[in-house]
Amino acid sequence: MKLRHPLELTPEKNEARDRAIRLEAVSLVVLILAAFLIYLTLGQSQAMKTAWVSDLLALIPPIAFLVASRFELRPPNERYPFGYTRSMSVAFLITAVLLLIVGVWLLYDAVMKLLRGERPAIGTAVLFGRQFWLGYAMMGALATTVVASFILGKRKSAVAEPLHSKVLEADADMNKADWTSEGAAIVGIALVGFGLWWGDAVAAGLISLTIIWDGWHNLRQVLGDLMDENPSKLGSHELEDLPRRIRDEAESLEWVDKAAVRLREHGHALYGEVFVVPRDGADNELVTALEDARKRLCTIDWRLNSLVIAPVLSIEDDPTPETHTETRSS
Amino acid sequence: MALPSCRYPRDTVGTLEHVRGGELRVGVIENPPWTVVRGDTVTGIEATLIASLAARLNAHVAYSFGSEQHLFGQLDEHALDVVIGGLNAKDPRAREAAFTRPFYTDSILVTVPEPSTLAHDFALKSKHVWALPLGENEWLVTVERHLHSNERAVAAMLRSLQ
Repeated sequence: MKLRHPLELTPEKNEARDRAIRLEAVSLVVLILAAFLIYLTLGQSQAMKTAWVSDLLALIPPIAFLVASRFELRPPNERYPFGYTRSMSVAFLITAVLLLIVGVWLLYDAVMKLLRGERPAIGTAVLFGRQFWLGYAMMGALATTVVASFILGKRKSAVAEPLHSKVLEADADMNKADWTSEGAAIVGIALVGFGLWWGDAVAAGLISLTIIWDGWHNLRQVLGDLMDENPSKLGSHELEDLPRRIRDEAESLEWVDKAAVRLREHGHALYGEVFVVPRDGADNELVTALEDARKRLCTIDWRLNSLVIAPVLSIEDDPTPETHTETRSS
Repeated sequence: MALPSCRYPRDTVGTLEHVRGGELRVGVIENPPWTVVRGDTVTGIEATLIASLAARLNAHVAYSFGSEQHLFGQLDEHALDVVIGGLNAKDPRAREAAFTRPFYTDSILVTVPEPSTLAHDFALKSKHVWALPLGENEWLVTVERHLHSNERAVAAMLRSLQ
């Protein structure tokens, strides 16, 4: 049995993965341009600063995804016998945490603006000899970023589905956080134009609540993933029926009496064990020998909580590390 | 902004409405040649701009004097409509008030005659602004439009002083 094989994808999945990588690279470029556009209209007012910072933070999930995807398909080695598919979980964790931070920070910022009674000052700008209210330019810049973030988010959700990628789904949520908060900023600036100084802060505050909810929801998912939770469906806490389907398939084998399945998510891949009770159970010498061996091996170290002994036909690429005894005198 | 029924943006406490046909309350920081104070009268480049703004709005000008801190406080309480006097865009009080677009930017080379306690000549890059109360965006737009249309006049006035 090849113990060091990397995650293998069908051509269809590989194509989806390539699309995801291209999409995330495009995201980076688009978001940098959007951030630059907003930066140009920042002016002296605080109104746009929150939109700008959350736009910059949205750059981090695509970077995390692109870095993780370089590692994801690497074959297991001595240091990482289970391979690198968990790198996606790391990217997922970073994205979820950032989403939560953005939401909390936007809420804090909005509440402080209201408490301090900050009134946004939005004056004029002069471009090509024409003088106009900067608020129009801000709304224009925000509108373009809304469209960009909206499209990016929808595309990412579409690619997340075939790859069952929670990272991509979380990044799509980040884009949603962006376009909803930017949309709120447009409404806010429009209200400020009507003399309602609190418009900007209230709009931002309301939207930040939805972002916090999304961030929290994603964080629960990734924490579950890292805790080896039973695989859950994309974007929900509902457990998948895959373990049950595997168990049913195992029990349909004529030599199997009972089976049990244990699965966990490692980024885009699933790892797990299937325990089977053969029909000739107690009479089976191999099974009893395995049970005895398992008990015995578990006594080697107090930390060995669960060992599964799997008989295989042959072993290629043994991932067990070779320890080198080092002399500490030098 | 000229259509009476379709004013956008608007002020939060109606500063422009209060100034138009009424009183333009100006806080003055002395800073020749921008503002020159003699007793109760104020002259200088910025005073000239104030006078033309007031004329445009059919308002009469009321000057107030005091420290920068005092004047900015008055501005914040809406007891003043504008503070003038060689204010720089980089002034640390930028967060307490609404600074206009710069109406003049210069790079002044300050030459120091020898001997002096100052070591050498230095250059100051300076963006000149006025300070308005925060949130009065209709007022801010009006003032900025006035300043923008007078940018050449400001440069001319400075040149004539040299």
